[in-house]
Amino acid sequence: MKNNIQIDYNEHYESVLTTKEDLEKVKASDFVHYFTDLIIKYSNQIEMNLKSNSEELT
Amino acid sequence: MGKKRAVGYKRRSPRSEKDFNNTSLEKQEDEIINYCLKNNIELVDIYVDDLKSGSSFKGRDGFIEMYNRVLKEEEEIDYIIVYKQDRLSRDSLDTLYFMKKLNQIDKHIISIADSINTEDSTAKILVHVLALVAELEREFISFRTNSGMEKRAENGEFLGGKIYGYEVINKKLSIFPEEAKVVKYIFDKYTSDKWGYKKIAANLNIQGVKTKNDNDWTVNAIKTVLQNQQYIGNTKWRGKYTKGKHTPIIEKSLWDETRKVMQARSYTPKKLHPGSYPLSGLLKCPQCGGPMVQGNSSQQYRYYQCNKNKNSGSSVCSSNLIKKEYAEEYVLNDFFSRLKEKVSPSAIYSVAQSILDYELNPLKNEARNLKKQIERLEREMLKIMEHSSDPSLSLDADMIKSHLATKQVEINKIKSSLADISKQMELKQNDSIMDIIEFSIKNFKDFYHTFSDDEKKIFFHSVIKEIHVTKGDKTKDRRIRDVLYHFDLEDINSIVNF
Repeated sequence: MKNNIQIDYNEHYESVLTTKEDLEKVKASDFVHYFTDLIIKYSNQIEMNLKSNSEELT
Repeated sequence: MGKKRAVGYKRRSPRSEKDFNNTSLEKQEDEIINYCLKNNIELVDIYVDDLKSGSSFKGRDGFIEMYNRVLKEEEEIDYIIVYKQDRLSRDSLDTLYFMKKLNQIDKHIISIADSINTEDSTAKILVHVLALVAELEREFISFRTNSGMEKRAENGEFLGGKIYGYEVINKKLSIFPEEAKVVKYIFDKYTSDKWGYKKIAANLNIQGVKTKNDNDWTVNAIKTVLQNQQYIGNTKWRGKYTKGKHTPIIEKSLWDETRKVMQARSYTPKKLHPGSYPLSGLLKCPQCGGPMVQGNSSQQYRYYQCNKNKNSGSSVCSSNLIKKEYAEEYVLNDFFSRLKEKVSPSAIYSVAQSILDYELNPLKNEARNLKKQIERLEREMLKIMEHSSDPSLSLDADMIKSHLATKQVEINKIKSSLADISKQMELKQNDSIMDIIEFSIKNFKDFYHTFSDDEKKIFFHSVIKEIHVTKGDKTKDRRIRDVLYHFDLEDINSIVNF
């Protein structure tokens, strides 16, 4: 039995059948998602920094 | 009506001699050209994959290029023509997916030898059947190969591959004296002289000795030799060893001695200088072009070092050290200036919205779970306190205190995770997310330093392809020459809806 089959076969085939040029777009999309994940993860901390920054300014 | 347009596809499998009714690439091409001529079809191009397996689309560059071209409207391709259907794929699911995608946009497969044209809907049944046949054939080939190998293994015969110290003559292993000497040398140095893997590798490299594949010796290559039971006359098949028919290079007594030394020396090495090296693998050595990794430097002076030098010694490449702080600061600045200049916060905002929309429900569940955990811990604390005031139990006061303290620490930890999650849930409802995004772009350098070590590494690896270093005689002369990215950061603004 194949153990590497993915549940969503459309997604599986799209990733397998992607050309090298499209790979750049995929990488850019992966990156922006990762970056956003980090912003969300650390949003609490960022907001605290944001507040302390604006307090310093006023 | 204009002339119909088609692309051809031909494939030769890597084990073509075992393939049923194997057809050469030339024959496949001739058949495709003739078919087009006879049927008045314009043959636009023929794509090829040589020595590629039909078990998957992966790695079949010719097929992938053809598939993406055919999908483009402006190319106006009507057919994909193959000599036999099994050239397209030997996996029935792959074939059916491919046919479905083409048929959806009214493009069709023609298989000459099978007399199939999927324009005719009854031919589709035949495609299903032939897809299964192609898959079964693949399984038969694999079954026959495996059962043959199994029998050879039982008889202790050689099963293929390259083994340093031997050469293959008439499908049998026979000692190659020059290399066998090196194998003995490796075992002797390791076992009698107590040399380490790296010292042996570096020494062989200095002497100009190469591996079977004409590469330099590395720590791993030495370790593989020392663990290879074929040197004491065994053969291996699927993890099992049997007595082989070839002549051993190493005596059993030396082999056993080596095991003892290995066991005595095997321990998980403690990282001498912990810390993150997020640019490992991205930095390229100015001399050999290979990756640079964490250097064996002191706590105070930290460097990236050429991996080849680290693994194979100075005869292969110099250390080419570059200062860690300098390299990371440079790359961070380079990235930061591009981020500020090219990436629009609104692009990130739209991705954040989609992530938050998707995650809201699981986050709610997670928050509920955490709240329950806090309630449970608080109940437990109350119980402990009740017990402590019961004189009949006469419990030790210090023990109770330490119990309560542990519970309180747990509660605090969960509360802090709950605060983070509540913040994320709030984000969806309020507008502060845009401010947060703008702030994290503007102050990216500070934001970066809040990442964990792993996150720093993943972050740089997901956006940077390579970093080149200039040549220099001394460490302080070496500078970053350029930073190559996987993509132009400006592309992010346009691909958000990709």
